[in-house]
Amino acid sequence: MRKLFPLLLAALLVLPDCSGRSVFEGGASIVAPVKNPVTREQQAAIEGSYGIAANLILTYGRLPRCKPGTSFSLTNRCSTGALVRKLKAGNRVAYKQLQNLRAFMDNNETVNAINAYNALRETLRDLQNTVTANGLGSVAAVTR
Amino acid sequence: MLASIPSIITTALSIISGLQQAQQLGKDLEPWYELLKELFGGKKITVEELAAIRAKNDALNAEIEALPEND
Repeated sequence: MRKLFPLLLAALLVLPDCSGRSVFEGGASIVAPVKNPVTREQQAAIEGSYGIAANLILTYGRLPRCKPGTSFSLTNRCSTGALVRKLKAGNRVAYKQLQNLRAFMDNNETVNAINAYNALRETLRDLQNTVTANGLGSVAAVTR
Repeated sequence: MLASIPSIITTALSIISGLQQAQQLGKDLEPWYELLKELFGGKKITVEELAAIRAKNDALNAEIEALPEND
């Protein structure tokens, strides 16, 4: 389980390499921007990234509400309605973009799929930033 | 009754509860991590596998939408 925390953050979303290229284009990032047609594997990878983000949002959203004047910590695992609303809003954007990507892939709309893929990547990055900015990496932490 | 329990115990209980939640989250996340690891290793995805992944994410999205937003 201890290995999960760093892997979680690494696998959660984009880890841009110096070249900014995805692993499918010779780079190091599994969900970096793409310029060539989106492959089924790339689609699966970004669906996987969404799945990880979604699980984090769910875990956080299911925490009991913080008492007034308190905030999330390892010893006070609680959530706020405000952050749940923010994460849900981010999820709605991401899910809509995911649906767009799926439709473009199914219809072989190559250029639209590339744009949808890259847009979803950015949304997932924003969600990642929200997670880390609010200290929610410890939602998944076991020990440090 | 809770007020009579020493604070160190309530802290420990909170940590244990958190560990259990983290363990459950770990179980939920492991398949996603394995998927990404396999894709990184060059795994090819079938149409059926992709459909299954999509269905899982659809279910996750529905659960997120059902989260209460109250303060």
